[in-house]
Formats: sequence, C-alpha cells, structure tokens
Amino acid sequence: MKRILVVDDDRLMVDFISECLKRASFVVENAFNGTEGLAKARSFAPDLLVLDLMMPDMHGFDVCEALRRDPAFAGLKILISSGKAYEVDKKAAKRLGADEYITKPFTIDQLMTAVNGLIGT
Amino acid sequence: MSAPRVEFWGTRGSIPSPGPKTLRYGGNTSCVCIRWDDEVLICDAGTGIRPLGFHLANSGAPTSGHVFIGHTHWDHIQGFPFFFPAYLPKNKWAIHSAKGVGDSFEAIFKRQMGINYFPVEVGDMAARLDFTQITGHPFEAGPVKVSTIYTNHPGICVGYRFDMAGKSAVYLTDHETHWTHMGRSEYSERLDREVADFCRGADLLVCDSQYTDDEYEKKRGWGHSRWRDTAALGVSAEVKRLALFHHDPERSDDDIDAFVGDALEFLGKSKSPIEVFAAREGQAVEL
Repeated sequence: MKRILVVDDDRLMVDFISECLKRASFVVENAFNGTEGLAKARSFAPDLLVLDLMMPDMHGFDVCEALRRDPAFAGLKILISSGKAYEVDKKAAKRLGADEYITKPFTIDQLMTAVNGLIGT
Repeated sequence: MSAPRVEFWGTRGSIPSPGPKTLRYGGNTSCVCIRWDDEVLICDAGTGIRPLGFHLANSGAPTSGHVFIGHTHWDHIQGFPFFFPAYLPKNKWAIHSAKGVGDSFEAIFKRQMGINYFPVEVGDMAARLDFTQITGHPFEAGPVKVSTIYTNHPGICVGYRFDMAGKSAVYLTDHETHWTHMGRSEYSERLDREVADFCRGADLLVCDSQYTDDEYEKKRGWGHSRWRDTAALGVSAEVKRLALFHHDPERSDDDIDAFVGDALEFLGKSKSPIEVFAAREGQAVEL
C-alpha cells in the first residue's frame, strides 16, 4: 500500500485530508510543522507528501527545497496543498520541485484526483 | 517612559508617485517608524526611509535599531540604498524578514544593491547590518515583543505586531482579504478570523487598503485589499485606531479623502468606535 505523509499546521485540515486518504486505503502519517515533516519524511519513507505552504517554523517551499536537494527523496512525489491561489506561488512551487498544487478549500474528489494522478490507487 | 509613537514616512504602494495630486498624503513608498524612548523600529524600507534616515541622523536619535521588512517587493526595499544611517560607522541595524522563495532573505535584500543595480554594495555600507530570518515564533527586539503572521500576497510576505509598554501596533500590508480572493467558505472565513485574532485589540492597525470596490473587480488576485474589507477587519479585531495604508499610486489626495468619508460612513453604520484615517506622509500617532 502506498504511503502518504500530510504536513500542515492546521489540525482541522490534517484531520480532513488524513481521513480522506485512509478511506482510500492509503497508509497515512501526519506532521504539524515543516521540521517535523522533514524528520518524518526520513523515518516514514512516504511515496507522496501533501504539503502546506504557510507554516510558522518552516515554510512549505523550504521543506520542498530541502527534500529535492536530498537524493534519497528522488522518487518522492510532492503535492502542495495551500490556501494561496496566486499563479506566482504555483509557478514557484513547480520551480522548487513540487509535482502538483491544489488550492484549499478543495473537495474530496479534487484531492483524490490529485493524489491518484501522482501515485495511483 | 514616553508613549510609543508611530510615524508615517511613506504611505504609497507599488511605486513612488510624486506630483501635484499626491501632495497631502505623499508619494513615497511604504515606510513606518515606531519610536519608543530609545527604540527605533522601522517597518519597510520603501522610499520613505530616505527622509526618515536624514531625520534620525539630524535629530540626535539613536543610531541603532531594527528594520522589519514585510517582503522584498521593490516598494518595500527600494529606499534602503539611500538610508543615510546605514552609511555611518558605529551604527548598528538589525534587519528582519522571512526567507524568500528559493533564497535567503539576506541574499535577496542585498541583490538590489549588486553592482549592476547600484554603485554601493550592502557590504560597503559602514554601519553594522545584521540580517535575521524570522521563524514564525514571537521574538524580542529590545523590550518590544514582535509577532508575525503570513499575509495573503503573491510570494512570501509577513505582517508584524509590536507589543510594548501595554500598547500595541500592527503593521499588516500587502494583504488580500482571504474571502474576497478565494470566495466565501468556512475555510476562507477561518483564515480571515486568524488575521483578526492577530490584530485583536491593537491600539493602531496600519493595514493595506489599496483598492475601491470597482478597482478590486479588475485586480482581484493582485494581493491587496479593498478599504471596505480592511475596515471590516478593524471592526472584527476591535482595534482602537485604523490607518488605511498602501495607497494606490493612481489615487489622488481627493480620492483618498473620498474613501475615508466612505469608510467613516461604513463604520458609523456598524456603530464601531474605531477611529479611522488614511495614513499621511509626515503624520505621527501617539499610542
């Protein structure tokens, strides 16, 4: 079963995303800030990271950059999940190595379409 | 111990806009200075920091202090090469902001004074300049507690809250109200509530109010707010005074007077006790 790590400082959002993914039979782990996200990316070895941007200790762009610098995560897919809907942020995410970007709030269908598009069911 | 005082040195957004139509509210880009006893806290280094620098140097003011940059778009940093106190040895300035996209704050800030842009590099300025990247956790600038929040603006941008001597001022510019940008939803309203909580009870909120309703329809997604939503934020956050800020470069003095009138009417209908005004270059407000 594919493994997904959800990194977001918004606990309500983490609960929502995790529940959707678990119901679709993914193995899910959560982290509530960027530093914890990086640590759990190493220990949990996910296939996909669902990553928030505006987190207080470490911005999602920095998490994305750090992971893309590390060859150990070459196969990791990164899905940015952010309340920011600006095109310039979407472009920046791509430039920093993110694979996909969805804007909050999203529906379960939108989330699952993005996830399945990246790592299949 | 004196009361903190907030001085407006540049109130304009986007680009300097000198001329006969902007004489009263001013044409310099964003720069606000908080003075409290020996503390000097400067918010943004738009072109307003140039006259501020001369004022500090000529008035015997402390030669050290803090500069808080909301983000590194030009209108918030372009005055720094002309900040005279940064050229004086023995001066010491701590310059704070968030890490930028793909590069450190320090590298991005220094780049505007690279050899292809300006004849003096940051490293050649005689004052000691210490760059710090904020982490999102509250920190102290001398006796002042500083808190930060990400604003809704393209790229990475932060707003600041300063608590000192039982008083508080919030500097929140380059921010687009979440619900107007992404539509009304439980989520967007929650994000707007978080912004209101950040501003809660401030003695002064200095806040982005760049657009009228009509302009916003054409500029939704540009990262700025309507004065109407900024006034609503002031009500929701129960601030005492609200400075409408980051005036559009096309906005004439008469236009600003008109929307202040509209804002007063709006707040009157809300039965809000908030004192609202449009920030004017040269204006000072005691907290």
